[in-house]
Amino acid sequence: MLQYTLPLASIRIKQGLLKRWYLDKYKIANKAYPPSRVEKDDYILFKEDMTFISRSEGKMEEGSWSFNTNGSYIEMLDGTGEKVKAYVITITANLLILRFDVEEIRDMQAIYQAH
Amino acid sequence: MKPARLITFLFVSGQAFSQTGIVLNTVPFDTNDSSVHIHEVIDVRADKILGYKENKNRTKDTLILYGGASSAIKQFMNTSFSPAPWKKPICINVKVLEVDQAQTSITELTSRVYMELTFLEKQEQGFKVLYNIRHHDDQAFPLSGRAESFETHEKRIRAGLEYCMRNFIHAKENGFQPLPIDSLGGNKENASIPDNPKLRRWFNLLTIKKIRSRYNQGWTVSYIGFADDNKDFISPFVISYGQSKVRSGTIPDKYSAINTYALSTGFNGLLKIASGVYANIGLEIPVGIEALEDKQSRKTNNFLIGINTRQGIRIISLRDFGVVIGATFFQQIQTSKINKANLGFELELGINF
Repeated sequence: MLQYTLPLASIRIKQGLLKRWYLDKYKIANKAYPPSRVEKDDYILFKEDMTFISRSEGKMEEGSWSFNTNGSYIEMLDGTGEKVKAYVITITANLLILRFDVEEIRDMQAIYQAH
Repeated sequence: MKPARLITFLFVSGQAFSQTGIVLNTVPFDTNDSSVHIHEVIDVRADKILGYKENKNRTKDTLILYGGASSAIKQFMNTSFSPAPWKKPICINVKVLEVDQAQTSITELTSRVYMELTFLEKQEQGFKVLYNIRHHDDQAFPLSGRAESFETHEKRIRAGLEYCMRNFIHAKENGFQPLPIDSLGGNKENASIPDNPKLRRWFNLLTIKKIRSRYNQGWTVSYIGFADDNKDFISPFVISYGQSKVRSGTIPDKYSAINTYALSTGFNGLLKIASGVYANIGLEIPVGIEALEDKQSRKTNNFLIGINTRQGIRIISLRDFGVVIGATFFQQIQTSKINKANLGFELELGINF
């Protein structure tokens, strides 16, 4: 039986997330779209104490987050108890691409930039 | 991601046994906890299979974890919780471990891993139950993504195991409070998760109905799509086309022609009462125009509004392709000039595909 152990890079994703990510654009079927006017300056800040602060459509939200290494997804739980799952498609030092597990926007990738 | 998937997933097929073994990869995850290690994993499931894989020729292979669930899960956990003399030995009982895949909406299919694990502390005499968790991890795919959906079962199993382990560590850090173990070994925090959360499978029905009422007769062809539900009312997606005409002998002598144009809004739902048997209950409000033409060719229009109730039964083959039969009674009252009250029945025949 073949047995592989992936490099620890997957664990480092969690560390890489710990910054303020500004919404840059959306991508649907390889076509990029700018955020709407109300989404201008939207961001997510993942903190080391596993809490987050976000600005979504201009509205401030906060809650807790976790990263599932094996599932490659972030789970965010806001103050109202609503849980959102977002798959990490790409992460580099300055680029984060998420696909939110929400039926209406599942075909869309949200592209964030770290400033 | 794709190259990693190709490297890390290995499916071992044994055609003679129609069984596919999924090799569980060992990807470490970090929980900032180094006080425990997984001493033993015991697969207490009566049936050791994960689920089924449907082949193109409609045959099914059974899916198992390659090497057995106990060994595979222990190896997976050991990469993150390696054994050491100072660590507390924890045992995991695998009570449920299943994968499933089904079309769940008109455009999507869903893959699910469902597991129930009990964490136990090894003591001098026997074991002490510390924590029980039920969890399912879902992922949606487009209908064209059936192969990817199947290939990623392995990843969702790992994700589910990581989720359960993280929750165990979190509960441990909080002194397992509150942790009343109920008679089924479940925690109150898991109470919202059903015992066996089967995916709500999508049904496609194509049916033709023959309609006969006190005043009308006709037919309707319908496409009906719905996600199955064992408990709640199902609101199907319906597209219909039909024709009906006033039965001869029911037009009052005064008129030569009567046509009705109406749109309906309301609720027309299904309620599952047994496997493959659904009650059909509806309440609709038709609004429209009744166009009347008398024998002197004078035309008048009458505003039409009413209420329509229906009660029926529909039997759907649970196989992937099968027959649908149904019968419905309906009653209607409306602001008509000629038939203020109507009642009738519909007989339905169709296919489930």
